[in-house]
Amino acid sequence: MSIFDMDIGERAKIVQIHASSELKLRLQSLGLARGVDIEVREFALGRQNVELDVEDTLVGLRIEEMKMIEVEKTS
Amino acid sequence: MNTIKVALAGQPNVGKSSLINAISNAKLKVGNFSGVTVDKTQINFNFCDEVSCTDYSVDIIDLPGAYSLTDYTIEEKVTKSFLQSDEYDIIVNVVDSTHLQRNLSFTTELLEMGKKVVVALNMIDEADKEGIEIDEKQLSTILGVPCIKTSASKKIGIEELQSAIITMHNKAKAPSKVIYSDFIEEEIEKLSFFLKAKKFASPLSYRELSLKLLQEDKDIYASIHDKPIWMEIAPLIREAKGHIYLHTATQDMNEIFSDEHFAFAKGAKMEVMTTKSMRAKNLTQKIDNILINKIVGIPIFLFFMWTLFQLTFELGAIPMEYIDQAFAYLGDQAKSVLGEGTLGLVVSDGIIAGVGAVILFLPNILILFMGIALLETTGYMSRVAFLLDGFFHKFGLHGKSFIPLVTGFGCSVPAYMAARTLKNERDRLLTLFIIGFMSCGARLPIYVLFISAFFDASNAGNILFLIYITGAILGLIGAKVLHSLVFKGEDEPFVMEMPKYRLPSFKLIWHTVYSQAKSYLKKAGTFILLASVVIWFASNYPKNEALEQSYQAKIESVSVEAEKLALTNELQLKLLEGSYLGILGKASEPLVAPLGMDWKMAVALETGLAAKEMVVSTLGILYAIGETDEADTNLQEQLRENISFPAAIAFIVFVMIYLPCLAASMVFVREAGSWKYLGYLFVFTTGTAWILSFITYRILLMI
Repeated sequence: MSIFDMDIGERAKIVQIHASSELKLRLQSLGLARGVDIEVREFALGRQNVELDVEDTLVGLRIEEMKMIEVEKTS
Repeated sequence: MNTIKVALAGQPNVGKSSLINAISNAKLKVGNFSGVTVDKTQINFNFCDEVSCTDYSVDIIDLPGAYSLTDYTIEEKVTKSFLQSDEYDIIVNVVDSTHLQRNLSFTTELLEMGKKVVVALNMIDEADKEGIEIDEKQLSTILGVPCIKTSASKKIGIEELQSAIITMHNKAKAPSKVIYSDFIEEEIEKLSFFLKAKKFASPLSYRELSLKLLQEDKDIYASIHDKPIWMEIAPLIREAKGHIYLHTATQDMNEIFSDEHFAFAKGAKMEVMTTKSMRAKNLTQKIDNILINKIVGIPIFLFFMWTLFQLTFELGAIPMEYIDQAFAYLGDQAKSVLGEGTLGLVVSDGIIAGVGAVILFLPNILILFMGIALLETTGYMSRVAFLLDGFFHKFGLHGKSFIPLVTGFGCSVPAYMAARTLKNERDRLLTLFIIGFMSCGARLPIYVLFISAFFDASNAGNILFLIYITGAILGLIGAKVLHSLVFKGEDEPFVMEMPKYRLPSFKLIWHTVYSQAKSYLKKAGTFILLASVVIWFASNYPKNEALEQSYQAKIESVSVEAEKLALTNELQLKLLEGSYLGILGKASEPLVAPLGMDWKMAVALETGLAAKEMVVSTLGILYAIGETDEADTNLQEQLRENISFPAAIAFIVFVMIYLPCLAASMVFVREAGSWKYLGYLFVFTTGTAWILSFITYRILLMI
């Protein structure tokens, strides 16, 4: 599953990021990397965008990026 | 006196600018808007150690915020190239103590630069509040560089930071202490051993050199490639990389080392940071629960925008009126001092009127930019992008495009400047190109004139609304078209930090607004001034003395005021007709003829390029004299008699779309970054205007 399949308030661990090398580095510099815990804070209308809590940094992503990030739910 | 050049680097929103303010106690230009400019501040202070006191002059270079040393954003490009190629002594790395791990990843990259580094653990007061404890001594040991706890707002650690900079400056550079995974360390060790055995001469240590070889550093490769050692070391490097790939999922060295930085930062954080209690939801998260809420988020935002525009255009209108009057007065004074000769007219109608047109927009710009700076510094702007990105992205735009586009309904000049909040160049250009579709305030008089001349009064409001809405829809369609034809390629991903909400710093806002205003006056002012003089010249020359004299005689011979006025108008018409502008209008008549327009309308459109307000006044001059007997016939009736209904609508459509005024065009050039874009904009807008006008005219003719 990807972030796109999560619900507001759910927590998950990043398993894999399927992105270009450039984008991967970008995501990593904002704290989004394999093994990191995230929480979905809010979706914008139509799930076009998401606000994530990544170790207390709030990060905004678009639908395309959400689908690239493979996660595993944690309780 | 000793001079130390300090490069201040850090991720965005870590309080770099406030820290400089705290160190230097100086007012300086800071804030998000300056973005890509690299600011330099010089501070002097006296520093004493046990032996003696020395004076130091410290140059602080405030580098733009960067998440990492990549070419991803303009800011990161500027920071990276400065750190790699410029001359400086020390890097002061400002770190947000409340986001230690993410910031330390960047620190790791800086440590690899092989420069002297001092780390400032900034916002330590906030970290305290959030229950975060950092052992800075331990961190210093791990990183091998001094780490100082600071707080710009609470003035903590400022002196310690200063003395750390000086101590570091006077000390020899110690090697970086960044350590990597065992499998990488092993390969570094092997390469260093070989380099050492060969007694290879290099300014870098063998460890640094080996590391850079593994990281595929272009400069190092270029320098080593021509040396005899290359033959021997190349296979060793290949072998070393092969070993590394066994342990990693990718063969991309950038990715591998990015993972290493991340892991090192994580390890360092685990060792030095403890959180006292489970951190409660902080204020930012609570505010976000409301402001980016699916239901109330957008209405709240719209309310903020509504307030901002009310302030910009209502409050701004008050000083604008005075500025207008002041310049009219100045113009009259100039005429009375210099006479009504060429010089007097150039000064009053050309220069003073031109400068007046520039300064007229200043109140709007000041208020709007104060508002935008407020949105930026509080951290709300990122939320705006978040809320609206879904909609705007469908048209190839960015969530942040909203603000410049809506500003465009007021005036294109501040709108073009507001597009600076878009950091990505393609997004910004696309937004700049369609701002003109949002009908600005100066076009309103033209619409009102034509609507009241050609439509029933009860329908006027609806038609006006229709014009504005159609413009906006056309703009979005235009964006979509440009996006798929011109600005094509993959979309920039939307990956942005939503910074913590902060109370605005008025000092910061003031300096943003001040520097905006200054650059607007300086750059736009010079171009507009020049162009106003040119346009004034084109509408007044060549002089036709004989015609003027004959009319002067006629005017003096009649006694009825109305007739005098009629004759004056007729004279003006004849003069304008014979001027370069008139000649141009006549010459371009064939171009607008398919739209049902005549040369008079062409001239009106051309003067509209200077300022949209001039369209109405030009039409006044050109039409108000059709029948000299009825000088009191108002312009609306004249228009109704002389222009067919389809041609009038075609004219409105043309005005809706074609190039904004001169002032806006000049600002456009500056924001887009090149004159060629004005050429493209001219072709794009005028072309679209012509085609849509033509279609409108032809359809209405058929009905």
